[in-house]
Amino acid sequence: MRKVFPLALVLLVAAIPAFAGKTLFKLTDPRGDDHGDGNLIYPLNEELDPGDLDLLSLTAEADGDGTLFEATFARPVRVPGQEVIDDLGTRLDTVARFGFYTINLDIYIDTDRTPGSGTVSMLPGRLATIDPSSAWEKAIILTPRPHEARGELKRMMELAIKDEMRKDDSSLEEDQAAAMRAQIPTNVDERIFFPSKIRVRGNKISFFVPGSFLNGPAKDTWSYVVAVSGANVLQSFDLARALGRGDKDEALMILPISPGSWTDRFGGGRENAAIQPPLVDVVVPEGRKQETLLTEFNQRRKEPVILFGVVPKG
Amino acid sequence: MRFNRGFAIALLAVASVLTALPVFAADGQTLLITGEDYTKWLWGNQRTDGSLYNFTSIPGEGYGDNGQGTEINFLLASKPSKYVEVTGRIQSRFSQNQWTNFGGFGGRNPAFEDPPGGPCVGGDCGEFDPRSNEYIKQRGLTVRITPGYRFVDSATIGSTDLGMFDAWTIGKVRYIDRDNAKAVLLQGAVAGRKLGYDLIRVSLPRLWAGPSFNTGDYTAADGAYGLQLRLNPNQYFDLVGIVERVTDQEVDVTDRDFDDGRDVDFRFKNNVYGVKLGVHPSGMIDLRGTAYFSEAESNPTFGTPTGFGTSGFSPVVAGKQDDEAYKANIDLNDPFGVGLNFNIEYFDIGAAYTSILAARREVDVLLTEGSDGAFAWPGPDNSAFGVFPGNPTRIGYGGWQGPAQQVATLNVDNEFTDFEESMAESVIGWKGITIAPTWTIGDLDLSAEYSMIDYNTNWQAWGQADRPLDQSPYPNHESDAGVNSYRNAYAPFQDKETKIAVLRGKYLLDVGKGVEIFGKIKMIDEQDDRMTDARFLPYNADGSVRFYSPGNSSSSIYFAPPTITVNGVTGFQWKPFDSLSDDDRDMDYKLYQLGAGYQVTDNVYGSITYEKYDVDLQDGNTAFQAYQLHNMASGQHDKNKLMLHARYVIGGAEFGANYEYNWGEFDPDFGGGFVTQFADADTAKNFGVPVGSPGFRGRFGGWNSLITRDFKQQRMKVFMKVRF
Repeated sequence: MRKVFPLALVLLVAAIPAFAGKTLFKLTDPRGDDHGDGNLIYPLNEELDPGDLDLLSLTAEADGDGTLFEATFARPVRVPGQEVIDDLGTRLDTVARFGFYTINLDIYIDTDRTPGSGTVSMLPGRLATIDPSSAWEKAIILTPRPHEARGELKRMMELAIKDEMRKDDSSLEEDQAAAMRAQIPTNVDERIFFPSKIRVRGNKISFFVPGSFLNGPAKDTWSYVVAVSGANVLQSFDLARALGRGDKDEALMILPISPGSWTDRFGGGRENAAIQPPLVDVVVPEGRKQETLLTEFNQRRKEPVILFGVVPKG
Repeated sequence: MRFNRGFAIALLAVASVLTALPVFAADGQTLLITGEDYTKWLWGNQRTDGSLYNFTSIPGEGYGDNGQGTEINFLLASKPSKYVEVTGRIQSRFSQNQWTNFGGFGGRNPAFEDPPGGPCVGGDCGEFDPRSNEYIKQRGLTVRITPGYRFVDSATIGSTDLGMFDAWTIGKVRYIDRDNAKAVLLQGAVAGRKLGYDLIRVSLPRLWAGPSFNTGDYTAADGAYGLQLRLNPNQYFDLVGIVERVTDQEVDVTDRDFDDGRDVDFRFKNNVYGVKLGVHPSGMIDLRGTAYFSEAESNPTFGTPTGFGTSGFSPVVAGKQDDEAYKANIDLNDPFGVGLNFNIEYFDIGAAYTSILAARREVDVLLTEGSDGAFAWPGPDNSAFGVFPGNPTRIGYGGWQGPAQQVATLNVDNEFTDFEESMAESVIGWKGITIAPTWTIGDLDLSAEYSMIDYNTNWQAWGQADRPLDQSPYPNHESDAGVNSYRNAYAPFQDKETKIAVLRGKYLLDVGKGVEIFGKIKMIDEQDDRMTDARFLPYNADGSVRFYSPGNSSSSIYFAPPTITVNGVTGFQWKPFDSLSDDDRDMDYKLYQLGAGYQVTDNVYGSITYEKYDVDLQDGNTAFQAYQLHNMASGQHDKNKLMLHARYVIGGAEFGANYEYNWGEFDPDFGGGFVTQFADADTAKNFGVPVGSPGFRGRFGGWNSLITRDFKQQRMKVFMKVRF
């Protein structure tokens, strides 16, 4: 190359240390446990391999009045390419614009540490709840299409209120429902944050959460439920992948799990276990096992899996 | 903090509704039907309306940059029992179903024309052609059986996209063809699920999976068998082995005894063996290696090509071939603790590496960006065979958007695509290394690439100096002329080296919701001396034919020019090929890109991108003539692209718009040593040049204009997707 080679410039600046804030806390998770209840099978396609969703650590650093989280995975994060995702020729990299497309990372934060205060529901499709002792006030949902996910969640919640109203035994009055629907956008924005300042580097994804959301930097005294799942970035737009399997609309951009092995979802699910959570890797408190927690649901009694928070300074 | 009631109810309701839903339709005969409406509007100033796709090279299919059309897609699913599920897809196609067809009625019937069977283009055959009569066809039907056996997870019978194998062997089928492949597939695992397997028998696609893009006359028994074993003993190590065996068979014409049945013989066979190894010692380092070995053989008894000239078309090399392909990747994740990562890739793909079912597009087998879609075919306007009348550019001056995808096959598929899609290019014969660092400085993300590419196809006289140049086993499609040629892998004389350097940047400007600023600088330095040995020159100094081996001379393709007189000037019609430098190629390619994107609301995103291409290309002179078949592209190319993109999502509907304005100039520089001719009225009409404008006629009478060409191309694609 007769021109100045830009790689030299890049290598030169390597000598400069990266900007780093004060580490607030670090949660670690065992390597090789990206198998849900122990039987989860990755989709049999080229887009996901074991290790891709294996969370090794989640670090929080102070960044101004906000928090810079950094999730480290066992394998390099898959970067969206030019794969076509619909009959119109839409490219994956044009819809998954933030540099990743296979991972959802949910963080549910119990900031008041008051048992029973907050909510225990996780986002749609996670099919798990949180123990009341870790009921959350704030959630951070790292997902490949944050804006669309937020819009979709609001739409789903509005529909849920409408459905609630239609029930014969509903105690909701019209005006109450209308007020609740009106409040949904504000409530979602106040309580659930979908990061859009995201950086993908090798096996790390870092994302910024402003202080305005958490009222300052994240604290090591709060309780965190951290769960990794497979992202379904095409959910809203590609029924061909869902192929009418009944999961087209009811889950928020998450890959489901089914018995057997599949190319378009996780396999290894239990037979007749529709409420089995499709969570791949979960950070659990000391003394508890992920594999055990994720099997503790009861399909007949509709009792879902219960997850527990981890307190970094516990 | 206590939650307000509305939020809690809504979130709880959404979540609890879910828990009541089955993951799959319940056992029984419930049939779930969902659908999609795909609609697109195309507009462009090329004023073509042959079909609702911007590009195809398939004769008689039609292409266009104007028109409006709609597809309907029905998705069916049922679960007759606990063990069996059925999925299907019924769909209409864009094809030539323009809204202006007014329902696809009427039209000309080519069957009753004299001569019959003329091409239907732009919907003019109305109800007499399935591409314009809005027909709906079965696109996919799959039965999946999960028998509950210990070592068999599932048996899949019917349509599959083949996504369980890999791009080098049995590649995933492109999206719009995803249900076209039909197969029987067994999947399962043994040894405590440490060893998984995929065993498949795919019916061989008769449309493209064999020599000359077909599988002969007796097609129904043609198939491919594939076995993939995946060993995953722990999180630090994985190993995959793949065996693929393809047989295209024909009825044996020498078997004259019909009473004992008919013997068969092979028309084409192709075996591929692959090994993929992954070592993952820590989060800091990731190692992967792949090796493939291929054998391919065509049987000329059944009309398969035995050789090609300087423009042969076939997805496989003629004759009996074997070759290898290797790749090794090292990912270093922040090894210095400063946020600097490296991806390093070594690759070596044999000139005759052949897997007829390898992925043809929509994958990227190499780390490098490779070429850009803006330059797709040899002519300065992206035309092929543009020196002959009736071969205008199809995709247009602007080409496709973005960098190319690399595929490990000659069977590259860019058919039925629009301008905002990616172009795929063949990497058969490539070998080299790519180093791709990524780094972050504050809010600025940087990534770079440096690739050095050498070629296993660097040879003289096709690497067989004892044979004539027009008997090459290598199909070189649109030739290696021009800035780029996406499915060309071979040239008769090649001594090429390519260096690619890219620096990309992305910065989130803290304005409003955050303005994403992005850009890149890309440079390609490519040199190809092509003919490097004087013994291959076509003529001796005294004008006699020079033979590089007994009976063989390059004068068969580079024959001498006649002497002509034009406006009183007498000289050669083109420069005689008398110097090794006559066909030299030297490309200095620069791309500058700058863009910005903004998420206006959760539902609305828009971006604007400007790209400037500055290409200084020497691609031989008039002695070389781009192999006599294409518009010469030697000279200065100045191409500009302005791209606007918008996307709007509402519920289950999505709208998008892509607008592109391409403008630029090509200033030809074909050297000297010939007499300039001037366009007559016919030439002016055929090639869109002014009467009397300068140019020259090549060996086969093709016209190359010498005037500076100014390009202006506008085009737009607006689309709607609705689920129902």
